[in-house]
Amino acid sequence: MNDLRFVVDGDDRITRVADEHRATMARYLGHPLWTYLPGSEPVLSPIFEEARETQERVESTVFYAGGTVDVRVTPADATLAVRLRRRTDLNVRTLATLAQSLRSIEAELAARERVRPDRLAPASPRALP
Amino acid sequence: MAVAVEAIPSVVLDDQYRIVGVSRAAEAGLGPFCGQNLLDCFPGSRPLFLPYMKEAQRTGRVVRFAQYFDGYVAEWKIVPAETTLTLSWERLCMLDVLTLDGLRASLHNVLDALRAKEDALHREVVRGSLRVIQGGR
Repeated sequence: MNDLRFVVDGDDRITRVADEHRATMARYLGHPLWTYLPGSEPVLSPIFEEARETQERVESTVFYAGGTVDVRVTPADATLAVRLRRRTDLNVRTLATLAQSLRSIEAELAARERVRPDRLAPASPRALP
Repeated sequence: MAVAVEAIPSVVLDDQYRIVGVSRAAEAGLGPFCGQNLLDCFPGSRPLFLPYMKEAQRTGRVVRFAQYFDGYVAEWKIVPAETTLTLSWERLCMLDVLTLDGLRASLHNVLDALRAKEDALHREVVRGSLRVIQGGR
């Protein structure tokens, strides 16, 4: 999973896939995303929910399938356009490389969390008299 | 019996650690590396495996050890012959890298499995030594 682009409906079913993924993803059209990316639901669904609630683009970095993945979710009416791009891979070769790459992934995820904008901030001025 | 042996992944190395034979169970992963130095084919493997290979060559005895490598904990066995070493392995547990929660849980399992196997092998060595000492009395 290096760079995936697709669209899901309100029930997280895949409704469209980018042309370059047709060979591998077309058979999953109409199926929940979680059948194509098993184990990703707890990681991705909070991001999907946030995009649906705010109707704003949400970007995040998560850990999935052996490394970090940049997630960009853009809401459009009842659907979400999703882009998943592999950022770094966990190096599982030895316990030393595993520990080192876990440390850098933790730092990467923490840094990403720190720079993530406060989703409520833009609305705050509107609450002022 | 031959089928059982073939079912165990193993590789035969010459005295320069070049791959000169591969069991059917290891063919897919190691077959393409025939003729090459095993330790060169798998970066990071040298400090983990070379000391045990040298021990088997030096002592002429079978060496067994537990080691994590490439996502797995396995029990490794090195059987020395005149000019070759036969390295075989049995996978004990695997790292789950799908999610962070899975990774955390499986990392604990991997470390526990490694410790348990190391302890078991150590106890076996101690028992073997005691038998030798007692037999020598």
